[in-house]
Amino acid sequence: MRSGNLFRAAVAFVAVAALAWYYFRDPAVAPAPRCLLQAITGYDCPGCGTQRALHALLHARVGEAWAFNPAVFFAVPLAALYLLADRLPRRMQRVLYAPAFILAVAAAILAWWIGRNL
Amino acid sequence: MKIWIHTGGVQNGPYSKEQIAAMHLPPATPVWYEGLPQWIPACQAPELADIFGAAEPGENPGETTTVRASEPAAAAVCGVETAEALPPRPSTFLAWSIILTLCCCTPFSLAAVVTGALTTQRYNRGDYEGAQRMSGITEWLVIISITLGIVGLPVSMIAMM
Repeated sequence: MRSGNLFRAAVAFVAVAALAWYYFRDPAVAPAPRCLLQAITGYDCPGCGTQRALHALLHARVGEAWAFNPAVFFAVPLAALYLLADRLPRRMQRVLYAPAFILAVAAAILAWWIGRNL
Repeated sequence: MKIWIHTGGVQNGPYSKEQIAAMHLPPATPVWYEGLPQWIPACQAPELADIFGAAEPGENPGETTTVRASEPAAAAVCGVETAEALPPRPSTFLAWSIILTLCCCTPFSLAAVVTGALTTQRYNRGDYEGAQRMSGITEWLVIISITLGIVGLPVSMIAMM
């Protein structure tokens, strides 16, 4: 129980630190971690553009963020839903944990990965 | 005899009675064969009584419970053995794997989403051991994904210079 709280505190700390980092530094101009997969293959991965999108979002430039990586707008709320899943109503849990729904999420990620490289 | 079954949210079949016996299905698996008015739990199907053992022929023949596919609660209809509290669903790590597809950009996190789906699929089917195994695989995929992300960070920074 206590280690669970410690873990939560650590995650919260990293999240706040990351948000502060991306608020002050524009990953498009400042040195920022680059995608390894993209460096090797030359293709964009489903996550490419997330850092720039985050920076734009933190400065309330929603349209710009969408242009960098629209997946952020779906992935973050969805991940939040899964984090809180135990406290959500039964009916929502049943959708979230339906194998077909999760496979659809995987298919969407794959489609976005292929689609953005065409 | 041709028997259809509902597993993992999809209809499968037709199978012969011998095949059904070899599958070792959970007793609450929805089944249908010609002559049944609707899908019923395997343990209540008269023709499968010798496989699943639970059904008593002659006792309330018309009164079977309708089961809807992919309804885990249906497990409660098949006597004490399955009516006991279901084991909790093993973690799917979906919050992790979805966020990781955004930031560690490795195919491993996508694979973790798929194994997460397989975890719930096994679990809904009543295959708790399989679900546990899939959950373990998912956990490793998440760990590999995070590790590659952390290792890749300095490597990619150097590559940029």
